Amino acid sequence: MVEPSTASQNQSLTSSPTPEQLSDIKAQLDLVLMALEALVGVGSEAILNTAKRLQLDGLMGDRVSLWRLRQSSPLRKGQGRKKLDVDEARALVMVACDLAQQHQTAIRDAVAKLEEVTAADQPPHRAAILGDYLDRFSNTYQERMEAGETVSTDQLSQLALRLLIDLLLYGAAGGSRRLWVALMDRSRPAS
Amino acid sequence: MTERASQQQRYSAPTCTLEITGQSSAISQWAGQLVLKGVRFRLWIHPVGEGSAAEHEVLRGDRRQLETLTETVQTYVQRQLVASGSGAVEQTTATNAGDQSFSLRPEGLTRHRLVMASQPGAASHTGTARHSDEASGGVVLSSLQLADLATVIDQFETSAITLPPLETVQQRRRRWWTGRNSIGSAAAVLIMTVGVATVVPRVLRDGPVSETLEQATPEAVGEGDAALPADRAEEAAPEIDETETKTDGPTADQLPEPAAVEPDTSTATPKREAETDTADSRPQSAPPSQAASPTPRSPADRASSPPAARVESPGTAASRSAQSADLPDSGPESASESGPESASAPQAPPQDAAPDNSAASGLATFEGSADSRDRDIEPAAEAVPALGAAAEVSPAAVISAVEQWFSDRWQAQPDLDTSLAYELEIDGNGVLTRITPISSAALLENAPIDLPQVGTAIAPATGRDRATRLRLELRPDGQVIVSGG
Repeated sequence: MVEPSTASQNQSLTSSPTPEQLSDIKAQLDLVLMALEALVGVGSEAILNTAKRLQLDGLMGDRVSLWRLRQSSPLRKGQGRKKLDVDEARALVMVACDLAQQHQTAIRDAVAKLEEVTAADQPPHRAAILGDYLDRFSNTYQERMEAGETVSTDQLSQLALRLLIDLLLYGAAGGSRRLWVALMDRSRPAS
Repeated sequence: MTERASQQQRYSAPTCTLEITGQSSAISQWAGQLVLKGVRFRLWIHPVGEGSAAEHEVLRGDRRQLETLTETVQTYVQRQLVASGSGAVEQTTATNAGDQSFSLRPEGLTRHRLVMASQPGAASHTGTARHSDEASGGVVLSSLQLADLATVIDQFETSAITLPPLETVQQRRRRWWTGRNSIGSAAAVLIMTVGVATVVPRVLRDGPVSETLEQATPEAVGEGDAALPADRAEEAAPEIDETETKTDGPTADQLPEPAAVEPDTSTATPKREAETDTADSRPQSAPPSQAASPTPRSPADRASSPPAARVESPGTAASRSAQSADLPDSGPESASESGPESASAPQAPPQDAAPDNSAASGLATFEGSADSRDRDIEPAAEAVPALGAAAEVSPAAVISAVEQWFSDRWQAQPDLDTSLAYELEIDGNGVLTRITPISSAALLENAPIDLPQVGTAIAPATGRDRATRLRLELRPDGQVIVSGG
């Protein structure tokens, strides 16, 4: 698989979102990182190391800054800095996609298992890898999100599985471009 | 620039392989990445977990189908990602391009049906993918296969550029010159107009209107032109405009070839001669068929098959002159400014068929060249000889004479499968200086005809320094076709 260069990734992230769009983008980015965290155990250390490798440590050089960036999601509990500028959003996109690429094997295994159980008409949590993923995601979401406890398990499972499949595309060639465009399209006001 | 050899690129993902075949373009060095032309692709989908051993070719096609597939897949994937955030699922993604369309639609969370609507000759659906559903049509892809398909497409897009078919410079030039409403057509029309404006006045002065000018010297003629009534001079301008207007309309295809106008004016000569009885002596010194059949030659004619350039019969020439009568009508007024050009008119009578010869001399000049460039500039050059004063045998007369010479000797050959074609070179004295076989049958030594020896006079003397090149075709049915150039 050909790895897209950092330069090409940077080039694709040229459209700047409006402040309104950024609120949804912050939430989306936080959820993508949450899915990675629930599936492969990506923690703050891995995120910071990736940011450093991508020369983005100026924007997220330590746990505090990283926490601040992720806390900007409007879905998150608690108060604090709720702002995310364009450069920070771009950095989160690049880091998330790079992490997805690093763990592409695990992601593919999970998706393959999901396809298998779905074809067999079985519930996803029957597969160990999926069961663990869904549990960790639900727990993390309910723990961190403002309305986490009001969201049903099925809704969370559905969200988690969608994010799992999205990770498959984010970790592929051109993933950062896809994620950025998807973030822009999702946050576009409905016409 | 030289093109490189065919190249094959393979882009692989765990469940998908995309093979691209094409010719590497020389402009790859400028693009900074591989540029391919004449692209064709093949797509294989591998069942999950079975590796490439169980791959199935699901699709193959050309560049256009590849672009359609790429757009469909990329758009569908992106819409899936967008829908993931909102919860809504995109039902169908379809892209139509020419005769091939693709559509992708989700079937559940992890299945996606790729449907190809093919027309005959379009990309073909080959083989049977593991998840193909023959009843519903198309191929069912898993999320992994879809992601891998998007991946290989992305890999290809980032590594290579596909070129659409490009028109060559020669094709563009040809279209530029010969296409409808092309600049070449406009240029030909303009040149024809100039030719008419210069040739026709001289021709018309041979009639009763110009009788008084025939005896004048060139300078005097010029003065006489200047002494033309002012109203006639004034009429020249609008008449010219009208002429140009008339000639702007026809396209290159409709024009009777630029050269046709000048000889047509000369073909008008016989008609006017009949009216005025002033040029009875003119054609007498010329070959009998010359006065009546100054067949026009044009770049198109020379480039066309021989039948298109056959020498016209006198009757045909007369009818053509009648048809072109409108054009010469504008000549006298427009030629009032021709000045020295008209000087040639009074000298014409003692010479051989002067006006048409003058016009035709231009044709003969270019009959000696088979170069396409010469054909392109012939219309302009043909206008120039109209200013000349040489009284020469027209090319049509030469062609007619050569045709007659061979017709007397060529008989139908039932055993012959194809025509015999030769290139003849005839000098200004009408003597054959070279005969070259140009068809395979003609190359046979036992060709059923006694060809003229070099040095044989087979045409009337033209008086020109340049040789005349003709194409001779001897048909199995006994026909003899001679064409210029």
